[in-house]
Amino acid sequence: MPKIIIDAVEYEVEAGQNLIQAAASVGITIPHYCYHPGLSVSGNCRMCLVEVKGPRGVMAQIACSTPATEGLEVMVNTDTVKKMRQGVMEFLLLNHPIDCPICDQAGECGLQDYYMDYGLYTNRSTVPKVKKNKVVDVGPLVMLDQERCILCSRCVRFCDEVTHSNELVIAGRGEKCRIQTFPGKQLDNPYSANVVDICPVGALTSKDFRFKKRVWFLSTAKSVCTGCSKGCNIYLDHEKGQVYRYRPRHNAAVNDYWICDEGRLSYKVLNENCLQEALIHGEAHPYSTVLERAQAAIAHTLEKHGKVAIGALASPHASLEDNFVLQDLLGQVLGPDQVWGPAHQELGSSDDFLRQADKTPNRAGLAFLGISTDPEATQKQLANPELKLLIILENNCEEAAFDQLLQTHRPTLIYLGSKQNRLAQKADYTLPITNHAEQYGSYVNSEQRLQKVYRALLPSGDAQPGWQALLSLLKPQLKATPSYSDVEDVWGQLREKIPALKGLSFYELPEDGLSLLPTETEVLVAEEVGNV
Amino acid sequence: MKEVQVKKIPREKLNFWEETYLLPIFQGMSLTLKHLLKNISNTEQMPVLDYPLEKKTMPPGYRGKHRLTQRDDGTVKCVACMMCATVCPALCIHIEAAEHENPAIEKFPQVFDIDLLRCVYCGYCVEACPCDAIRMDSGVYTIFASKREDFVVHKEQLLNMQAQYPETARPKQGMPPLPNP
Ligand code: SF4
Ligand code: SF4
Ligand code: SF4
Ligand code: SF4
Ligand code: FES
Repeated sequence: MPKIIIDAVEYEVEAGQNLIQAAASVGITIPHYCYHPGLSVSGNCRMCLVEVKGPRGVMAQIACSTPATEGLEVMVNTDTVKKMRQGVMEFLLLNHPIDCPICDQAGECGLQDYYMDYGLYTNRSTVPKVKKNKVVDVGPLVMLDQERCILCSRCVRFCDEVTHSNELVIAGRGEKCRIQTFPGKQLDNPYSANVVDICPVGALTSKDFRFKKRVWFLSTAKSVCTGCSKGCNIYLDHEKGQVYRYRPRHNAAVNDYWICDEGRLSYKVLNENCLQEALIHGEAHPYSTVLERAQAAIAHTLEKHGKVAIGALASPHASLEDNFVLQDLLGQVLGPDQVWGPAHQELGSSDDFLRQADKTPNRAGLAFLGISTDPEATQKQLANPELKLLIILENNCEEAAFDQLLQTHRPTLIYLGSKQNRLAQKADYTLPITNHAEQYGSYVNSEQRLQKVYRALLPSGDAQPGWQALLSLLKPQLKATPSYSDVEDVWGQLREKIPALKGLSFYELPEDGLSLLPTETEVLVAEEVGNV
Repeated sequence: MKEVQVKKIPREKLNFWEETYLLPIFQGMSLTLKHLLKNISNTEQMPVLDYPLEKKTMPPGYRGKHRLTQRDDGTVKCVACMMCATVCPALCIHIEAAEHENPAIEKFPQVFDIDLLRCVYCGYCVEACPCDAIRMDSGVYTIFASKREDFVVHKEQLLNMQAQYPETARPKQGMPPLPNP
């Protein structure tokens, strides 16, 4: 580990970093625009200029392309450095329209931020500003304003290096230099909206978020995208019970700095069609009434037809906690074989970068709990005419198999879901549960990574977390009733019953998730044990 | 402890007539009567307004009911930047932004409501506006309605308000230049 000296203080930093990264790792921010940790170094904005001591004396050098090597001595806060930053800011703003009142970036803009620290505050320019194109429609999700661009080339590098689709280019020379798409091309790759996040200014803005909200009104929660089984880490921005956008959250093991456009827009389902009331045959009734009647239906079926007449469908959309409580409590009532996985696959487009074909966030979580995820096995169970009562957790069930089930032997359906969908309407008893933005919970992604989501919103209407609703539903049948009042209580059971989660607690799960795959040492130990 | 210096003022001694209080009462009553007679014989001069038939003109700088200023073509000058809604201590400004068909304008408020029942007439919104789009120079201080909802004034109403004084009479506004750091 090399030692470097920043402003006369010695720090030990990781090898192989550049100066911006090394300084950041010890809590020193070096202002920068064109450098982005997920892209190659281009070194064109000059904002990161610092003074470096070299054999020929103290020289100005850009931090983004200076490797942090042993004995490097830099000054990041001298008057000269500040003056250089001020000069760069003045140059970048020379033709800038200063549209802040209409610019969606205002509030999270690199120009605004650094201007507060290094602005010149007096205008020395005597010539009119250069005009370029505004409101340029570059793609289905992205709006470009050429005047606001500082030509840092982050967006161009993203399209070259990350998506390899090369839609964007810097055209023209001198003051006519501008970002545009190649003639006849659109910025329409499946990851296109990431350029909005990486653009340090308001040149590339999101069409979907356009003018919806000023960013300083938004609160943020750490969450996980539920658009597919990749489980990209996100920030969920919301205000007054409404979700406004997803932004990628860095996780080197899953999504790096990016998310796909489909997932980015999947926040919309959180604002639509939320199930708020308990229903009986599609009609709203008080929660307690529905709960009592559903409990009575279970008791009646148990008494009349026995344990084999009841089954339950776990859900790849619900959290690990919900599925665990379903499996655990129902297992106590009926025995272990009556909880089945989903009856169908939900497949969509995929690629070799982030998007997965499986569009459910927690199928691996079911497998982890030992619930079969083979749709055919479940369908066979559902076709059994002995089945008299079916408890279904969070499902959209638009499938033919289900219709058939409803038409043939029509078991009593108890549905616990968060959406006003067809199943909520058709089920005999429907209880509202919270969605992933309204609860603490965890999901297992396709790479066996356990990731947690934080609660962002208050539950809509009467909705309760799934594990809580399940507990109240099954309470009359249980010999010893567990007292869950918090997700951590559920984790108390999870820790106890699942060896892989031993010693873990929900609130202490790392922010970037926890791999459930055996570590290399564990694999080696297992092999050793096997050999012996 | 330091001694406190106290200056003693001796009480004035009242004479016999003063002690009866009869004369001072008469003196006071005659003063009242004098003003009464003067006023009812000369109502023109009374410093009282015949409100609501007559209304007072407020001095420049008085913070009255808000108005939205217009561009030269009569459209709203506001660009829905939400500075006013952000700074408003009463949280009484509600704005919904929309796309303007002219790319040079780009953004305008589709909805601009002010709840005058909540407003505390602090004038922060006027100060915060970067576009001089909202002003409180209408001079209107009579805010009335028969229903709560009618106290919420909308964009059209705000746009149709007139300034009380011509532009030139307005005190010069705007931020002083920031100091060079
Ligand atoms: S890019 Fe930044 S500085 Fe430029 S108009 Fe937008 S918010 Fe203002
Ligand atoms: S559009 Fe944004 S990201 Fe692209 S070069 Fe301009 S400032 Fe940089
Ligand atoms: S005058 Fe004050 S309280 Fe009234 S709208 Fe403006 S900022 Fe809000
Ligand atoms: S009135 Fe002024 S401050 Fe308020 S939104 Fe309009 S432009 Fe912005
Ligand atoms: S960040 Fe180093 S030159 Fe732009």
